[in-house]
Amino acid sequence: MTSVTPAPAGLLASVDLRFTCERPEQVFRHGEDTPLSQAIDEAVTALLGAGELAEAPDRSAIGVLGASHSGERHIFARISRRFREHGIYAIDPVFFSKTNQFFPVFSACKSGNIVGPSSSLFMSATHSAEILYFALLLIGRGHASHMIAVSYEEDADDAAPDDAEGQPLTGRFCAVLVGPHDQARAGAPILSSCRLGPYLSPGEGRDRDLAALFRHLDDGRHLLLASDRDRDAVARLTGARLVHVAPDRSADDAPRILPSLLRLLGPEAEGGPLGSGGSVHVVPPEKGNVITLRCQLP
Amino acid sequence: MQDPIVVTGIALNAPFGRTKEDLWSFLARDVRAPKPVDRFPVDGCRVKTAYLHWPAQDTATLYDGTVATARAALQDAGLEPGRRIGFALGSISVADAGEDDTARRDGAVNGLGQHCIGRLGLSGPLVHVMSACTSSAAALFWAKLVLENDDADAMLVGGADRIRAVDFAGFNILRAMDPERSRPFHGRRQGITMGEGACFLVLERLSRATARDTEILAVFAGAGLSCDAHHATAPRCDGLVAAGRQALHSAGLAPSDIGYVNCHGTGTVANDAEESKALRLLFGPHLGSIVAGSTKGFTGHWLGSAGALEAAISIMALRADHAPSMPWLDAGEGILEARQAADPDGPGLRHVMSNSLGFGGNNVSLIFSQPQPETLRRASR
Repeated sequence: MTSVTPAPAGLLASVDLRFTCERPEQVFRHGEDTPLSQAIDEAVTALLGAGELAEAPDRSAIGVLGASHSGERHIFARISRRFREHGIYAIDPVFFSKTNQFFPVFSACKSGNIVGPSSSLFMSATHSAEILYFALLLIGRGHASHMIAVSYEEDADDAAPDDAEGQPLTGRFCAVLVGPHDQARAGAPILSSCRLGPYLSPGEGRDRDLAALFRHLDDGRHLLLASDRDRDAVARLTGARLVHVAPDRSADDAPRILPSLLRLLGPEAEGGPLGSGGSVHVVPPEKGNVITLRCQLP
Repeated sequence: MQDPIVVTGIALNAPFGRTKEDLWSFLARDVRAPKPVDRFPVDGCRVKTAYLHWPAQDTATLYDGTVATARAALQDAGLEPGRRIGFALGSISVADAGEDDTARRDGAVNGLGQHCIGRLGLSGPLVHVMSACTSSAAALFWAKLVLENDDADAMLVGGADRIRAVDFAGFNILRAMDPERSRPFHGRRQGITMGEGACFLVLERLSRATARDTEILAVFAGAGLSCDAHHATAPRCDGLVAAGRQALHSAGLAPSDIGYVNCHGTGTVANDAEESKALRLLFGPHLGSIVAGSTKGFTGHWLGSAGALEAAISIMALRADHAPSMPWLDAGEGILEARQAADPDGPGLRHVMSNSLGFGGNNVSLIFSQPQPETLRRASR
């Protein structure tokens, strides 16, 4: 087995921003003067400042990871509408280029002149905490010293996608700066390792996979960030060995996993249910990869 | 103790075949002519041809074809679907403009990945990358890290895409397509020819592959990612240089160790010019002793799934100790300063590099190496 000695890391800073693009054309452009690009710029500037990276001349060791569940759905809907109404050559080539990449990542890199490793990962759930795993892997394996992990979701709306014209676009992104733990606030949690998997789906195999995951727990403290359904299933399987933490919920009752995890492990975390440290197991609400973070509080 | 990541299976779903042997023999044949596109209206297009493959344009065909290819790769590796086998996919084919959005299932971009992991009965991690033309190369990068972290016993990794009307229109509007067929690195190149298909590789830790006594196709020695942070569609060479240096560093190699570079080489004026500069900066005085070229003149540009296909090609070159040529280049017409054929008195191909660039300034560099007897002996202890 490969012996990996991960570099201890910390969640140095985070921002949780909503954005609103009022005018239709703002929905589809990422120039320098739209509310979305301004929000991305504000987030990147704040995070680089918090990490004392604002003056760093060399940003090749800083990277950006983007994650989303639905991506830029409104852009695609807009393209689809113009295609149906006006034919194939009505497609704006600028928009076309956004249908096969995740533009917020580029926007963040350009905003901060960040030229380290960057990638765009798509998740099975909104605001998935899995993005932290990938950021920690890059730092742990020496590909980067710091990673900005951005989780981006556009609000679902009841209007048909091709009614995007004239409708404001709203959404949220939650961005975290991950870096060396000695740059974190004194007393903040230190992340020493991360694990990914299994991939869970609703259905009869879910409890089997949860059982396999929690069959052999060490003697440390174990938190379970999961829905009530999974809390009950895991309690049956492990005899209530894990301490359950319910995820925060949005106004429409959707679980907000990543922000909930940041509350436990983020720059302002004070221990709480973690005590002096342990493992946090994050189980996705329906579909997605389980992630496990081992951490300690100094 | 090091336990390298190795490649143990390859399968594809392409106009030229389904196996790695089909792929390699295809690259020894003459370049094909692309076919007229008949799946969506192309009236008024400057370019109306592509290397078509899928029998139908709908997402069901892509989904079924992707699953079949992934399953074939597992079979090539001698593996059955299992709980600790994960799935990493690079694909841009979420849906096409004008298409019913139900193809995206619950609205998730990773619907194709979800579909595959379910149909194949895998429980390992699912990783889905969409980063334009680097998507499946980036999927290989992530799968390697997942295995190195011991979060799976094997990763089924690859790409699958179809030629979408939105991309065909977009590249036409950008005048980035060659009216005849793509001629990467030619002095009078005019752009890409689109292609489509699926290609999957199986990655494992060497110790596990050795214990299973399965054939090891190559060692996945190193990988690097970067962003140009320059322009949404136009590349800048220093991004690829950074990714290449990261890949070399992670593989513990020097530029002079690389024998062949499979370039992104799309055939566009901008890409090939910047990539040529990048090779010059990355390899310096060693460039003249390295064979470099693009195979997109044979296969077409598979967009998000190109990286996986070209990783497979690079591995086959390593195994054959022979780099594919670029027969569309006549003497003196190429812009690359690297060699077009290996020095017959040289050391042979021990390490090869496969590079991918994409919109959004995305860059990925992958390095594959010949499995060395000493490495195999250490792993079998």
